[in-house]
Amino acid sequence: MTSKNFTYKISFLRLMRDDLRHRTWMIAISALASFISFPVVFLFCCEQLINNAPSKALISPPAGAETLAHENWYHLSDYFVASHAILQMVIIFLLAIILAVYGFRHLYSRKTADLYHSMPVTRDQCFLAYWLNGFLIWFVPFLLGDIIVYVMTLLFVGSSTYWGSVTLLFLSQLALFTLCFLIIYHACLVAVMVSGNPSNATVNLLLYGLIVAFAYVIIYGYLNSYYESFYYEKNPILESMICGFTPFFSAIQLCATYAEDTLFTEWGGATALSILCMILNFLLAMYLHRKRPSELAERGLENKYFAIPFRFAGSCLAGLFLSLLFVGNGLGWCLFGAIFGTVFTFAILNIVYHTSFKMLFGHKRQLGLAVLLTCGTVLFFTFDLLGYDAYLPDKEDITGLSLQASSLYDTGYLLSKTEEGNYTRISPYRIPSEPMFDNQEEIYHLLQAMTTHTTSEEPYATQHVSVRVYTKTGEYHRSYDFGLDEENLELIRPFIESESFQEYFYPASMGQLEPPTEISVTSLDAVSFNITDSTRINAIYEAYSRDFKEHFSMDTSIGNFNFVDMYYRYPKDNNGGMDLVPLEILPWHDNTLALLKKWYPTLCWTKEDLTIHSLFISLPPISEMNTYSNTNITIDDPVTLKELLPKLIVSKHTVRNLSPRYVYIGKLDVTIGAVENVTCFGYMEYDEVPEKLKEIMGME
Amino acid sequence: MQAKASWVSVSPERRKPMIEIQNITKKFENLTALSEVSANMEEGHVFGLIGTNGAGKSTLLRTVCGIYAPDEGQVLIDGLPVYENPEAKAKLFYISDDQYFFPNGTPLDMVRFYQTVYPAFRTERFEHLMNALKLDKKQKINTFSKGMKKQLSVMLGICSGTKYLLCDETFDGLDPVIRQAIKRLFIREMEENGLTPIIASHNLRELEDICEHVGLLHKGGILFSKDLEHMKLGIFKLQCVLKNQEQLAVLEQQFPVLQREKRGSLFTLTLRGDKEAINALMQRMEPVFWELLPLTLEEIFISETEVQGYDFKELYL
Repeated sequence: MTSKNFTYKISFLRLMRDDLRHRTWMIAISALASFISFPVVFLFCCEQLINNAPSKALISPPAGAETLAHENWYHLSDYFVASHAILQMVIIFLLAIILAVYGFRHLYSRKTADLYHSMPVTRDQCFLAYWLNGFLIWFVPFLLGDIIVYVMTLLFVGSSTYWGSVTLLFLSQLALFTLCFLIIYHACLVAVMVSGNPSNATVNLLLYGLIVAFAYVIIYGYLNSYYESFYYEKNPILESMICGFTPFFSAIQLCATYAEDTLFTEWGGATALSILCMILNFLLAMYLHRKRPSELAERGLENKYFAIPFRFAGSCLAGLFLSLLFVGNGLGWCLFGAIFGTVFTFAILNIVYHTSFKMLFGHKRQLGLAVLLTCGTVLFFTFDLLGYDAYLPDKEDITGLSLQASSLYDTGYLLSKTEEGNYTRISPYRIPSEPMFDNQEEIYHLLQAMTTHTTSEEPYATQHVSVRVYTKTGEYHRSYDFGLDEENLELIRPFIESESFQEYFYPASMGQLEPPTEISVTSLDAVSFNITDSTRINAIYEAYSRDFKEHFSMDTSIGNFNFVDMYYRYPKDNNGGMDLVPLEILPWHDNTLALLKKWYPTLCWTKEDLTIHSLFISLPPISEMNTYSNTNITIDDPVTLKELLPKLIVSKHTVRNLSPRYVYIGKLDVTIGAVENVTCFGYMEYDEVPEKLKEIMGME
Repeated sequence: MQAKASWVSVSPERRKPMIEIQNITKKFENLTALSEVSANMEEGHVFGLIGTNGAGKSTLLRTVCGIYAPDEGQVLIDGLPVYENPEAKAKLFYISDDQYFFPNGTPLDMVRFYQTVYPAFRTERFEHLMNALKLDKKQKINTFSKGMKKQLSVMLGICSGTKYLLCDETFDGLDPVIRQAIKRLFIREMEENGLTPIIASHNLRELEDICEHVGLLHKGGILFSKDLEHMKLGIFKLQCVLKNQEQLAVLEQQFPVLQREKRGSLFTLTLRGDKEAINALMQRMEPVFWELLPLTLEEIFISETEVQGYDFKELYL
């Protein structure tokens, strides 16, 4: 070891020691945060476990030691690495920001900058010493807290079978949180290095920490929410880069993906990029610290290499965001939003960066350019200058299509088959992740219609159909406000009436599941009961399936008026944890209704069992026909009601996405069996509304 | 002053520039704070840096001690470039015009800090000086008066054990007694430990009795940098009552008169020339009254800057 190196080491350690002396309050905060987020929260978690699951209580005598250990382990591991680790993440965020800003606070004051920069140490030495201190202030209490919880977990879990898993979990958690801390800490350091005062640093923290994700959200919003396209949607490289290069986002993403066990699989690229980004940010922060002019202290942001891109990124994105808010109000408002957002944000950034209100409209040329850039982007998307909206894949390249048409039917009971062959409940708004159709002609025909129709031409453009097109070169997605007029409905008909569509969305109705162990039914007169007899269960299951196969069509799908409720019940562990499948018995389920009538004749099952006393017509759904008047009229004339009854479709609930083929008439006051004053909802097919009623409702 | 004699005892030939400021330029955006400034500061001598507010004194000092990186030129400390060079910076201690002390810190906390960065820090000497100046080393610094803080800064600087002490407006805010005490302290440290103070001030009178070498900064440029003794040796103030106008003509013929003032029959002349020669001439002429006086620093500056083509009163006063 040379004497020079020796001297360096001594001064480095001395620097660290001296810096720690002035950061005792930070050490105290870190220790307190660690204490709360580890032992205290852990005990709280255990307490909850004991209270919520007495049969699996940690302290009660176990029925079987291994079972208990498994349960304990399951709950505890879930608590510490999954979504429950939010507290740790919040603490990591806050501490990383505070430590970065406070550790290099001397850069923000001319007096302290004079002192520290006149000291006989290199700036790199200073940087490393203070960086390391910042890290250790967070890490040491975190480590101690983690070790305490580790030991406590071993004690609670009890069985040595799980000790290996516990150790692995805590080591991996330690590594993950350390990585998260460093990602945020280094990003903050970069923001701190280019800032001249704390307010400036705060703005830069947000810009630097979130700008890439913000840009992505804005662009994604433009491409997918307001501007239609068949362009490539799922771009793993782009998403990885966005995740990797957005420090605040990537830290959260890392934890989320770790909890989902996809950290090194699906998100492996993003994880690698996050680590790379963290290292690059460290080097960048060190470089900026080395090159940082001392005169920058108290001045705001004077680093021109950062000031210009920060100003442009912040103001242009804010302008684009504001224009998105006005997108429904026409191009003029859109441009107003763009200009206002850009100018306002630019001015705010100017004030912050220069710490002077005089700079409100400073950098006029840059401001002009930013406004032009924002407005240009808005116009670019609005007028589809590159044919973005009109893009259509080649017909020969199309290999398949999946479709989500939840607006066609009012259902919330879609099931999806898992790889293991079980069924799990899925969102009705999710597009199936694999091709459902492969007829090139039909697909291309639909896509052509989607690209050539414009929303403004559609009279009922409140409902939309989303498709995912599979081609030889990749996947494309399009979500479209597709007016459900007769012409468009016919375009969708082949897909809706296809077997693959029904199998995908209606496995229970199609009879693809095992018969349930129990069926719950609620009749029209609100009598609920369970059918437990297996013969009856099988009979209803088969009848319902037969009804569905015989009658399900495009037309019955859109006329899905809730009538009689029915549930299939399964043991909890079957079918992917799904124990209840809701179904509706509609008037066209004649076989099913016949069985119910036969077995439970005293209950009400059909429209004929209703006695309508009055019909109250009020404001009909505006989305269906804007020409309707706001009528408030009650019809209680028995003769008129008797005339209306055959054409009236009765539903127990309001229909969420009513097809324009139907008209909502109004609320019905009915008696069903022995139950009086029941409120139902009346609908009619548009073409069948009597002239007299049309007149009352102002439909003419 | 006795001590000053010892500084002068170093012959000009032996003097070696230890701080070399070579053509440095420092800009802050559109403002040029220093423009091609060059100066040498010699070891064992007090260098006074004089200039108006905003002349660039603090910027020059900050550049000399490696806080600011010059845009052009360089500063060498004993031959080593100072910026980002701990070896060179270890020879310097910078006392800014508004020194930083840790919030809620005591003098002892500051000592601990400076011990970290200046391993040669003389703690015993510091305690001795604190006692001498009746400052409490355990009292919180934020309760100190401005003058006490200045004293503390100087104590810390002196005890840091560095070779050069760069003081920015250090005497500003000190009462005359303490000011003199600190000046004596500087002299003692120079004698005993070879300290070289570099003092920047806008007050000529504060530097007059301590500086040997002065540099005048104006608008970011150094107007001149000269030995005070050397300057004083060549310029004198002659107060005299002459017998006739011919005697004045002879005087003006023999020596360049930089300034002439007449009050009644009393002439006050600022002359450039050899002291012995002026004395000899006056003895020969036998005027009614005459007296050859040394010039104050201010008077020297007036004449020197006028020689440079500046109106000193506009420039400085």
